[in-house]
Amino acid sequence: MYPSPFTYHRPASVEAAVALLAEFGDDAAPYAGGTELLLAMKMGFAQYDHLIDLKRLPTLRTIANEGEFLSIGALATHAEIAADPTVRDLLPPLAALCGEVANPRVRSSGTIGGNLCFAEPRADPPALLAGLDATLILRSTSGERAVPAASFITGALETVRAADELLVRIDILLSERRVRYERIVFGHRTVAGAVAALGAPGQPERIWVGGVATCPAPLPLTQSLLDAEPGAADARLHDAVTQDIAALDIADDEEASADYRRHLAATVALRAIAGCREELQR
Amino acid sequence: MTASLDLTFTLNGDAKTARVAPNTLLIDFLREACQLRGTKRSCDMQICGACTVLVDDRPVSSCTTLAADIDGAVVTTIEGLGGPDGLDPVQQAFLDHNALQCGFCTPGFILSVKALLHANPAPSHEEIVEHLNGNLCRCTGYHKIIDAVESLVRP
Repeated sequence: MYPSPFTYHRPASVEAAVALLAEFGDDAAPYAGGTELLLAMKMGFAQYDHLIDLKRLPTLRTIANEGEFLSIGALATHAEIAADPTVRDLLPPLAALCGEVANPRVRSSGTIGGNLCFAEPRADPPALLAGLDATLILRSTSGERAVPAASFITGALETVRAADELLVRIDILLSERRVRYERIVFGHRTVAGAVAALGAPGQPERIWVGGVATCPAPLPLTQSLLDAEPGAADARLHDAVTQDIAALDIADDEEASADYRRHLAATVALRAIAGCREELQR
Repeated sequence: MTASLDLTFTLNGDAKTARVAPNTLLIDFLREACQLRGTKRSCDMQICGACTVLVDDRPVSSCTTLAADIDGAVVTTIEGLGGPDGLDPVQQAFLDHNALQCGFCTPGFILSVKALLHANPAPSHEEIVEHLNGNLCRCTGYHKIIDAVESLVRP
C-alpha cells in the first residue's frame, strides 16, 4: 500500500513549519515519526495534500531540566526519552513506559508529540502525562498557548489542537509525588493502563486510566477519597475505583468486552495506587 | 516545497544519489529502485519486523518510513552485511545455531540484532528477548534465534 501523493515540505525552522501550517491548514499534516501517520495514510484513513517534515528540526527534540519542570521537545522519540539520563533520573516511570512502547523500531521513530496528537485510544503516554499534570505547548503564527495534558485529548483521534498549531513541547511539573504506571497488554496493545501520582503535601492526588475509554480519564471519587484520607482502607478504595470506572463510557471491542475491560481497569488502578503507597512507606 | 525529491545517502557503504516521488516508501525504494530484495514486506504495519533496515544504526520499519527520511543518512540492508571474506558475525551465529528455516524473517532479525548490539554490546537474556519481541518468525519457535544472539554476547 502506498500513501496517496502529497507535496513534501522540509522547513528549516519551527517558525517556517508553523507558517506552512497556517498556509495549508487542514490540507497539511506535520510529519513527525510517521509511525501512525504513514499507517493511516497507507490504509486510506487519512489523506493530505502537504506533509511538513519536522524530523530535521533538532530544537524540537530537546530534553531539559528546567528546575520546576522537565521540558521534553515534542519530536523526542520514545527511544530518546527512554534512554535520556535526565528523564531516567527525574521521572523513571516515563522513561520506563517509553522504553516499552510497541517495539524497538516504533520507539526509534515514533515521537511523544505524535503519540499525543494522534490520540490513539490505546496509547499509554497520554494518560501518564495527564496524571503528571503535564502542560502541552502549542505554537502557531499568533504565538504560543499552554493546554493541560488533562484536557488535550477529547475523544478517539480527537484533540483540541487546531490545524494551524504545532505541538512543540511538553512541560512536566516536577514534584515529590510517587508515580506508578501499571498496564495490561494483549499482544502489542494496551487493554487497560492506569497512573497514580500520590503523596506530595499540598498537591492533589491523581489517578487516571488510559487505554480504557476513547480518551484518558481521571477517577474523581478515588482522587477525592485519597485527598481526604491518604490512608483510606483497601475496601473503600476498591469501591471508589469501581464506581469511577462504572461511570466511564466503555465499549465492547475485538479485544475485550466492556465488563472485562472495566475489571482490568480497576485492577491496574488499584495496582498503581498500591505501588505508590509501598514507595511512600519506604 | 517539492513534487520530487533528490536524495543523497550512503547505502551499504556506497555513496548514492536518487530522485524519488515524496510518497515513496523506503521499502519500495530499496526493493524496486535499488533492486535489493533481501528486505521483505509482510505485515506492512510495523509489527512483524521483516522489513527492518538500519538508518544511521537505528532499526526502522522500511514499510512505514519515507524514502525522504534517508536523505543524508547511512542505510544498511541485509545485502550490506558480510562479503567475500565471510559472513557477518551475526549471520554466522544464525547459521551455526540453525536459527532459520524458511529464511523470510531472517534479514529483519539479523538487522534487529545488529541494532541491539550497536546500542548495547552486552544485553542481558531478558533484554535480548524483549528487543526481539518486535520480530516475528513462524518457523523456529525463537529459541534458536535467541541462542544465536546469546552466543555472540556470552560465547
